[in-house]
Amino acid sequence: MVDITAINEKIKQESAFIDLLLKEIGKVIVGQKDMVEKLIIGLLGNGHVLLEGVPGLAKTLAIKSLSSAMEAKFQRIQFTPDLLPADLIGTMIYNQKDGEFTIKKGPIFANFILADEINRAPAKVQSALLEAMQEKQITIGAETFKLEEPFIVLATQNPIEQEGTYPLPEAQIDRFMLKVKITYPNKEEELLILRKNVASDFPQINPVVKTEDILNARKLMQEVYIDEKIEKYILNIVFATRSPKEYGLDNLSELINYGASPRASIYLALGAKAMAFIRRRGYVIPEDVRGICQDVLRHRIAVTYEAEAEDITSENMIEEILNKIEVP
Amino acid sequence: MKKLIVLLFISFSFLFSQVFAQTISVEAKVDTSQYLIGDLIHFSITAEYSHEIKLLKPVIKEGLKNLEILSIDEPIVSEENGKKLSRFNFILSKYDSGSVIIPQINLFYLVGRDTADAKLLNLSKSELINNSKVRVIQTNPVNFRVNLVQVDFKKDIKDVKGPIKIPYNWMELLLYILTALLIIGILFYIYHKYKKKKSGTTEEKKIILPPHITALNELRKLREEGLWQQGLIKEYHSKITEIIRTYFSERFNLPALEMTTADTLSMLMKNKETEIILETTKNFLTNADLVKFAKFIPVKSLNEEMMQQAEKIVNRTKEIVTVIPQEVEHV
Repeated sequence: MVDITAINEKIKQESAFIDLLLKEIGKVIVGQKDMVEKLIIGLLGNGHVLLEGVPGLAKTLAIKSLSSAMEAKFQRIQFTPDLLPADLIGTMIYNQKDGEFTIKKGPIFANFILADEINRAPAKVQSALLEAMQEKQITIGAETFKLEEPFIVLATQNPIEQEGTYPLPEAQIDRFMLKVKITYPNKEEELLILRKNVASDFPQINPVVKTEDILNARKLMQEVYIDEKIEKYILNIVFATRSPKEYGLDNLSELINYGASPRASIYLALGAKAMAFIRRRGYVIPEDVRGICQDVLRHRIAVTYEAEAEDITSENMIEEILNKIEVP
Repeated sequence: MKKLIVLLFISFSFLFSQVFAQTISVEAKVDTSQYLIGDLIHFSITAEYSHEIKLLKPVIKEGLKNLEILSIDEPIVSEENGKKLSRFNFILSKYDSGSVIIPQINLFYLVGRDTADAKLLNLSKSELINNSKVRVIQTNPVNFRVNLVQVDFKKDIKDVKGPIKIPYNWMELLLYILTALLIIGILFYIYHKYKKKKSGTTEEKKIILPPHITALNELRKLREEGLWQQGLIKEYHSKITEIIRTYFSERFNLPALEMTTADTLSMLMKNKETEIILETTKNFLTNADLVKFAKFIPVKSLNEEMMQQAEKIVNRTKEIVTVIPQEVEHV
């Protein structure tokens, strides 16, 4: 029998670091609460996050702040068209003194990787990174190295300036747990941003969370109770992306090329659990699933040319699905 | 005398050999000897032969390899002057200019008893050549010339001819209009017949009840079922919330069944009519969520309280109109 009260209590104690983290990040990031929350969900759900937004929305700053607020190794990699896989994962270097090859580890050997403008590097570099994301290990020469936990890739890309970019293929983009879209701040938020940035003393982020806190939270998150009704709700949403007709969404069948993969169901459940965790709850409710749905599904639904021509996005379709599927 | 007998024997032998000879003759020809590039070349092979002979289908592809074979007709078999006549027609074309020779083509045939041998009819080309029972006769070679289209370079370049205007065929147009009218008429008839049939069969009248009456009836039924008393607490809470959500959907035109607790509450907050039940609804839905999703086992009194809260929500938000159940046709 699951003792929800005990889990609730445990979560309340163990999730205290989230407040510290949010407070510390809040020193430099104004607004964008949803984005920061989703980054923490990715961190807890052991999934990688892709941030998409026009330039200047503090994507990179948010990721840098998150990693600075933690006692963890952070590496920023600026993706460029001339980047090579060896620049990322490392390579074998010939040592003339002793006449032997030695391994030079690349910047990927860190806890937090900021893959800035991931779509600017060619497919071979993206593949090298995405392989590391999936396997959580790197092979240089004949030696394989396990990446240290937590290992999380936070990638950014901007939706404009598509010239000279290498869009991530669907199979690879599926490896990102979340694709978070960032929008412009409102007037009040922008005023605060303006004031903070023109002031002489820009706040500094201090490390307030240890990697152990995250690993412990991940363990505890496994105990968050997810009822069968919620599991079925998740499956209904995912299946509606694959066979919309069966859910009375006939209009979507012509607009969806292919629906979300089983990875979507897994990440929806994990994301909902993480959402419940940061809401200090020991059980998942439909709000948690809905709260994470767009970010888990938007990059997993391939739209048809008809949809593109009619300017219907995967977000519109997810919204329609959520409005159609009965909440338990 | 002896010489006369020998002479007579030789004469009779010659005569009979002429009468009963298994004769066959073939001729290959084209319809003209001069063609332009791309013209259709009508090539035919005609074989005349006696009844004891069975002609096999000619193997011609190799002989015509320099030409484009556009079509091969089925052979035409007829009878003329006591002899069989088989005609094989081909339509060919050539896209190069120059002189063309269609070489001699082999026609295979069987004679006498061999014509009844089914195995011999399906032999391949190499088997036909090597089989001693199969005989062969060759057509004559055919010559013709394919010429280039003559262009007068002295003349000026002319534009492509414009589309030819075809005069209106009023009869054809009338036929189309009549067909379209007929189709529309048939569809109209089918639609009316279907509509009439549907309205005729479902003449039963359904009483539409106001949402609050439906909800209260459903709550009464749920109470009578005694689900929580049987230990089916989760089912009880699921059903009771479903009744209230359905009531909200019908009463306030909200998609409450597809909304989460938070969404439902935020929608109700916007409605003045629901202000008085906002707190009750919040407690009601939150408690139900705990039971449904958190394995929370409520005390018995809470189960009963849920029913009272549900009734309160319905009674306090019901439409204040004198409802006379009206009978309407169900379409």
